[in-house]
Amino acid sequence: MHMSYRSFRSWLARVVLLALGASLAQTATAQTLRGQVTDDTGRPLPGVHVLAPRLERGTATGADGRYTLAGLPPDTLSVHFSFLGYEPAFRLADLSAGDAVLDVALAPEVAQLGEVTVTQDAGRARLTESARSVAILDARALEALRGQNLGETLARLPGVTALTTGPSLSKPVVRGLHSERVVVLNAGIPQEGQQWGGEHAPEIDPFAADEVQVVRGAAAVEHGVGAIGGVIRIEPRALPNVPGLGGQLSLQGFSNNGQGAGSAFVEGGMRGGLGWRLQGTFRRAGDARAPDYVIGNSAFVERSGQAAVGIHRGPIGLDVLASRFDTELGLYAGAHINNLGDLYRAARAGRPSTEYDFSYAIDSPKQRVTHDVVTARGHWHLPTGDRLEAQVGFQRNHRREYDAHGGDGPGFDLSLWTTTADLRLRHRPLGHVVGTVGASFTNQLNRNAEAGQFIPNFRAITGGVFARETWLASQRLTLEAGARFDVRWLRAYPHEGPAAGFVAREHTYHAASGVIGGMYELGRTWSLSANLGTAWRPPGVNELYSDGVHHGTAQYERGNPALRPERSLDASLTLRHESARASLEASAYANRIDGFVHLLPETDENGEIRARQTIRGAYWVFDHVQADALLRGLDADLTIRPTDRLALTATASLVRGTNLEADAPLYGMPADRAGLGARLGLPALGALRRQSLGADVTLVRRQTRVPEGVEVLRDPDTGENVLAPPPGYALVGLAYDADLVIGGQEVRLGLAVHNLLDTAYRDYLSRFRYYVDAPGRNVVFRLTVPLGRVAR
Amino acid sequence: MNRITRFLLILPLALAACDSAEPDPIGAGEHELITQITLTLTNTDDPEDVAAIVASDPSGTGLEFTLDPAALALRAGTRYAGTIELADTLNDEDITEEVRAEAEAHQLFYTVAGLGGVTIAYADEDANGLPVGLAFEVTVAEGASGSGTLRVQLAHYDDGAKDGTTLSSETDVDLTLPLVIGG
Repeated sequence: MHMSYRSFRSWLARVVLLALGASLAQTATAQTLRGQVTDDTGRPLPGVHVLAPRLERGTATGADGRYTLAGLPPDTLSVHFSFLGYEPAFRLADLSAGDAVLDVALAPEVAQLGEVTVTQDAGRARLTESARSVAILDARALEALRGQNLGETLARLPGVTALTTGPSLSKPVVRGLHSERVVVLNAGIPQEGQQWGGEHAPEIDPFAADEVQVVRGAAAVEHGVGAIGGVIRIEPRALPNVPGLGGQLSLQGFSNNGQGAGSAFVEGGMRGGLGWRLQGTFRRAGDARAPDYVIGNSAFVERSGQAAVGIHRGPIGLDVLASRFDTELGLYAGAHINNLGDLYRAARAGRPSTEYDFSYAIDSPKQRVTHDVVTARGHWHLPTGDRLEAQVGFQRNHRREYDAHGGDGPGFDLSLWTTTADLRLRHRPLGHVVGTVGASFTNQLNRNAEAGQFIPNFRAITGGVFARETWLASQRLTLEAGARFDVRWLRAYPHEGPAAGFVAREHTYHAASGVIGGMYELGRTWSLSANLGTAWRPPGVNELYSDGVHHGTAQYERGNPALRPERSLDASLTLRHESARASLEASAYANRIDGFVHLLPETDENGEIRARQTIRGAYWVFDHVQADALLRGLDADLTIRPTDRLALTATASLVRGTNLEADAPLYGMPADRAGLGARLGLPALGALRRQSLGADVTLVRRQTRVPEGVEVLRDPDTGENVLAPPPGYALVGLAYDADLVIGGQEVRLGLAVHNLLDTAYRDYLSRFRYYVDAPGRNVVFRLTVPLGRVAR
Repeated sequence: MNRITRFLLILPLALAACDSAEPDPIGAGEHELITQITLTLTNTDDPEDVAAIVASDPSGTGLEFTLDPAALALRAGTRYAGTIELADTLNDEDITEEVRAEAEAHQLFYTVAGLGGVTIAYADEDANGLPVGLAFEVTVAEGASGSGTLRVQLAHYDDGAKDGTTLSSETDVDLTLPLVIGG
């Protein structure tokens, strides 16, 4: 499109005015809610979270306990107040006649009982959280999972499971999709770290997270290309904005692999709305132990740290954060096979051929990854009632993988630099409609050092614009709609043979995505949400140009430069119930992905995988192909509270993936799983308060829906299918938590046992399932010590 | 055309000219790739009588795999002194020397299948007295004939697991060659 500069300028001005100032003509519709939050003695509480769930708007109280929520539509809104140590409160604010004042007094949490009681108010907020299916791990829930990596932390949520490569490496799988189909946001920045690799775990320290949200299903409008399976949002603690000094020390010990982990942070606030925080984490583990043997070379060490500084004064806020994540992890050497002969022998033995002794040493094969992030995000509440948000980020991911024996240098040395910029405008309400328009930009550079080139060097530039609006149609009904347009330009340098050398290849992709959804409150305790969205994903550089052997699976993978982008249509229906005695969230979904990219092995006339002979041995060749696919499933999470002390939970996750063109199951779908749990609050005992005792059972079925051809590889000697999915299993766990008060200092304790019965099992989504069992019994001890006055 | 439009047009060209994504032409390739194996069997009675076979995989991917000649042809009633050479032609490295230098961590296994009358014995050993297999002896019995296969495997051992008879969990070479015994 060609435009003269003058007409371009006036077009741009009109767009900006439309977004910013259209409502200048409707000044009467933007309301403000003000108030003060105190405790039950009248003392003001600073740092209380104030949230209007239907609008996804929130703020925090200042030093005087006062808060302001501006730019609200003229409706009756539910407002949720929460603060650690106090019972949450839920109130209705009527803004239909104009500005309103809402003061709230919070009652302290009931000190004797453990985390069993849930008040009506806390549940109400969850009813109207979102038109989508979202699972949230708040600070309390995260504390009970401390010391694990991100994949393990999320693996117990309904709809989420983990793709593991040995005990030290796990990636989250949301409704059957993972890697480049799940966007991980760390402090607002999409994590870019070679996530195409099944054995490349997200380089994020969950210790630094205050809340983790998992959006199950497509969320393309807000998050751009690739959010076809889901979005994982990791948010750090908000910086203090009131004077004071505080901190926390957190320690964990794990018996199975001798892991010690510790994390500490110190934070402070200064006059004028300035806040800062320094945080550091260290984790060190030895080899993991399956019930019958040591899984050799599965040790790891991880160091990470974060520094943040911010200023929040009136309408303006700015936070700057810098973090480094550094890990070295060993991969069980027996899984590093070179050819199918090795695979048959390993499958026949079923256990390591060497008796390993437990050790903390990390030898090759291993990975060394560092991930650095610097980001600044700011917001400005304009006097018109609009809110401008901007974020810029710089990331550098350096990944080195060392083969079992390739000399001293890495076999694989990739550096990925990513610059992201994001600008959003939460415009003032237009009648009963609130919403956001925004634009984002990403510039990425990938370079191989002098080592193997599994994926080529490339530069990728992506840009997108979007708008998302929410209409409070009535007291009970909320509707939303959004649209987005993205463009991606890619220039890669694949190696095309000894004669041609490196050749520059360019691709440009562009497409739109959209969403419509609604949420209806049925009575006071039920809500029904429905969501229909379309998203797309351009093919990844590994899918276009990979060329090399994948050592863990004796697979030679070939890229396909002719791949088209994937296009998905995702429909989901979520039913929620919240009452004093029960909580329920059940979500059914169907996600149709056209052009679903996957690996297909070469097969012979009998439909069996054809082994290709080379000097190294025989391995099978996988090509990247695409076919239309459909993923359907159900996630459910039910909690029943028969008494004030007892809570019973049941969860279930089912996924059915189908390759529509082959009329066969999709490869690598999670098996059906269910969980049952019980938690009992115990009365206080001396200095022990908030005691609770819990037990849980995880049940996983054998995965019977497997595609023939991809999952049948017959051992020539025994005739057995080497790739057969492992049997189902059940794992039992116990947990005890309590708060201890010693000399005025609060200390939170936790003792848990995972896999209490030391069951030997293998999970279908473990890439090591051909070689070794999963780890056995693990006794975990956790200790958290809050220091000083920790303002939330 | 005004300055802004001109700047916007030049920008992509500037990006193209100094694209730091462009790779250096040297240094690519997988580590320790064995792309060529040569087996040379010399008749112990007649040094002029040599049976050899070269297995070649020039790109290292198996997609251009060739055998020259198509089979290893041996004579009945003959004893051969055998040697093997392993090379990485992509990176121009002599893997035979690497195996020799790390003899305690390597062993070559030779297995005949599909026909009788061929026996293979080791003719070298490492510092621990265990066989290596870079030199070996092949004895073909009188009257043996037919065709079968010779499987060559290079086992790599870590942590001193080599015991002289057991294959390791990781083999760097697993090559099956057609074997023909003639009169």
